[in-house]
Amino acid sequence: MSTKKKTKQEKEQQKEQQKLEKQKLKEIRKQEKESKIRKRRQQREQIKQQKKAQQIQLMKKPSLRRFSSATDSRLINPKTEEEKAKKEERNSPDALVNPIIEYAMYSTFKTQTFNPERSAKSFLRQDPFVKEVDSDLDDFDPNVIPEEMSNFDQILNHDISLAYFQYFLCKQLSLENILFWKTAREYQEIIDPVERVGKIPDILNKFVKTGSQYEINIDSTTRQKILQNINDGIISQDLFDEAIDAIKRLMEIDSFAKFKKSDSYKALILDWHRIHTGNEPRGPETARDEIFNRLYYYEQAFIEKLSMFSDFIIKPLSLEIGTSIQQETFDLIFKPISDIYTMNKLLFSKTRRSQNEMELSKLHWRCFFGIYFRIQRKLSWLC
Amino acid sequence: MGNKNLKKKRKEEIARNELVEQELKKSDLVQKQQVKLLILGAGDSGKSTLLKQMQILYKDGFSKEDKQLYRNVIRTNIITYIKILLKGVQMLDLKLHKSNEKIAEDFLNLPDIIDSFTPNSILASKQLWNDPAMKMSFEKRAQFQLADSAGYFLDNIDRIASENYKPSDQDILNCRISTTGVKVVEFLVNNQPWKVVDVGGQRSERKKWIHHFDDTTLLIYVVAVNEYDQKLFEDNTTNRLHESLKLFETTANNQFLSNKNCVILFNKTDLFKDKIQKVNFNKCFEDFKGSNNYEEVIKFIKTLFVKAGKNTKRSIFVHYSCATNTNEIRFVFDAVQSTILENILKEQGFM
Repeated sequence: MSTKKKTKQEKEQQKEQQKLEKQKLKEIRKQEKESKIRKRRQQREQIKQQKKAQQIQLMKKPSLRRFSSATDSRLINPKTEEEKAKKEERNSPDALVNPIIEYAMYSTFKTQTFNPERSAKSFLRQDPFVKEVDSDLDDFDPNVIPEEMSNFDQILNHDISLAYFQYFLCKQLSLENILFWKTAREYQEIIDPVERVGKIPDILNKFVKTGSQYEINIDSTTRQKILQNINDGIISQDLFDEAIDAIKRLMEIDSFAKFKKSDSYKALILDWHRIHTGNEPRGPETARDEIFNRLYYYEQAFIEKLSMFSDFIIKPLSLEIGTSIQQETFDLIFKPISDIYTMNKLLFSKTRRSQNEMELSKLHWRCFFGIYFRIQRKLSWLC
Repeated sequence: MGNKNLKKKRKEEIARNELVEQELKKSDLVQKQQVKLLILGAGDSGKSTLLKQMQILYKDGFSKEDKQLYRNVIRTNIITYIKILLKGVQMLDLKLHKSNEKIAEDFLNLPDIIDSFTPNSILASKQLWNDPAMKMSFEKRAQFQLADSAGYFLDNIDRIASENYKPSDQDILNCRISTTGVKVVEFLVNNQPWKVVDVGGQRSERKKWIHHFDDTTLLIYVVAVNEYDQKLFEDNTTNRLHESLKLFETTANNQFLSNKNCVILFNKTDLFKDKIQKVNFNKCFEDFKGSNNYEEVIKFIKTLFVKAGKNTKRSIFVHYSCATNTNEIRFVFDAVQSTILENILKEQGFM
C-alpha cells in the first residue's frame, strides 16, 4: 500500500510540476506577445513621426507655405487693413499664378514615394460626370424662387449670388467674362483721370488685346475702337462701355440661362433662404473661390506652356528621332504635373471637402493626365 | 474577445473593398460604353443649333422657361438687328426716306434690352424695315456683322410682337445665342449614353477646347458654307471660310484627335444656294476655276476639307445639311450612330 501511496503522491507532484511549467510557459509567451505588440506600436509611432516630420518639412518650403496660407481662417475675414491689402494682392490674377508656377518649378516632392500613375488611374476611374447631388439640394422648391434671384442685374448686385455665379462660370470655363466685368466696372467709377490712365495698361494686357491671357469675346470693331481711343489719348470714363454691355449681354443670354438650370443655382437659392431666416450662409467661400481661380489660371498658363513645348517633344516623338534627349525634356515638363497633382490632393484634404470641388478638380486634372499617359505610352514603345 | 473584434473588422473591410471594386468596375463599364461627341467649328457655324436639334430629337423639346428666355432674346435681337442695319446704312452712305430719318436717330439711342421692345419701337422697326435703303444695306450685309437669321425674324415682326407670342421650334432653332465656355450635355440615344460637348467658336474661346479633347469617340466639325464672302466677328480682315479651313486643319491633326473618326457637316446649305446665285465664289477662293453653281462649288469645298483632315488612321464622313431642318439633322445623326457602332465593333475586333 505504501508504495501505491508513494506512487500516487509522486504522480500528484508530477502533475503539479507540469501545471507550474505550463503556467510558466504561458507567462513567457504572454511576455513575448506583449513585447512584440510594444515593438509594433513603437514602429508605428516611429513611422507616424517620420510622416509628420516629412509633412512639416514640406510645409516649410517657402512657396507651398504661401499657398496654404490662403486657407488660413484669418485671411477669409481680414481684420486689419494690411491683411486686406495682402488679400487684394493675392486676388490679382498674376499673383494667383506665380506662386503655383514657382512651386511647380521648385519640384520638391522627390522625398515622398509617390506613384502618380496609380493614384491618377484610381481617380480617373471615378467619372466626374456622374452626378452626386448634395442631399440638401432635395429641399429645393422651384416655386419659391425670390424675385431678386431671377433677375440677372440683381444677381450681379449681391455679393453672395455673384460668388455663386462666378463659381459656376469657373466650372463652365468662361470666368474671364465676370473678371472683365468686375475690373471694368471699377474703372468706370474712377473720377480722377490720372488714376484712370494708370489702370488702362493692366486692363488692356489682360482682357482686351488679341491673344491676351483672359481675352474676352468681343467683336473686332469695339476692340479697335477701344485701342484707337487709347492711341488718340481719349481716355474717358465710358471707354469700355460698349465692351461691358456686350459681355454682360453675353453672360445674361448664355451663361445665366445655363446657371439657372444648374445645381449651383439651387444651392444659391437655398442659401438665400438661409440668410433671410437669420442663419449664416454656407456659400462658395472666398477661400474656396481663390483656390479654383488659381487652378484655372494655372491651367491656362500650363496649356500655353504645353503648346510651346509641343514643337520640341510631341512632333519629334512622332518622327521617332533620338528619344534619349527627349526623355529629359519630358521629365522637365511632366514632373511638375505630378507634383501639382499631389499638391492639389493635399489642398483638398485640408479645406473642407465637398463633392463639387472634387468634381471640378478631377475635371481639371483629367485632361493633363490624358496627355501624360499618352506621351508616356509612346515613349515606352520607342525605348 | 479581441480576436473576434478583429475578425469582424477584417470582414467589414473586405466587404467594403469588394463594394468599392464593384463600383470601380461599374464606372469603368460606363466609361467604356459612353460615347463622347465633340462638336467643333468656327464661330456662328451652327454648333449650338445641332445641340438644340438633339434636344428636340432625343429629349422632350423645350420647356416653358426655355421658351420664355428665347422669346425675350428674339425680341431684343430684333432691335439689335435694326440698329446694325441702320449703322450699315450710314456706313454705305445710303439715304433713308425723309420721314424715316428722325425715327432712325431715336432708334439708334435705344439700348439692347428687352425693355426697349415697346409698341413704339415695334412700329418704328416695321417702318424702317420696309425702307428701300434698309433693304439695300440688308443685301450688302456681308460687309458688317449681321446674324444669318435676321431676315427670318424681321419678316415675322408682327407675329413676334403679338401679346400671346410663343416661339415655335423653328423660331428657337433660328435664334442666335453666342456660346461662351464649354457645355456638356448628356443624352440617351437608343439606350446608349451620349455625352455631347458644345463649345464657343470664336478665337478667344478656342483655348478652352483642349479640356475636352480626351476620350472622344467622334469629332463633328461644322462648317457654314454660306459664309464665303463674310469676315470674322473677332477679326474684320480674315475671311470666314479661310479661317474655318485653317482651324479644321489644326484641330483635326491635333495629337489627340488625329486618330479619331470625323464627321464634317457642311451647314447652312439653303442660304448657300441663295447666295451662290448672287455672289461669285471666285472672289474668296481664287484657285477655284469651275463654273459658279451649287454642285461644283460644294464639291470644291469638300475636297479642300477632306484633304486637310486626311490621314490613314481615320475615316472622314461628309454630310450636307441645313441645321434648322429637323429631318435633315435626324438623318445625319442616324448616320453618326452607325459610324459609332462601327467604331465599337472595330475596337472589339469584329471588323
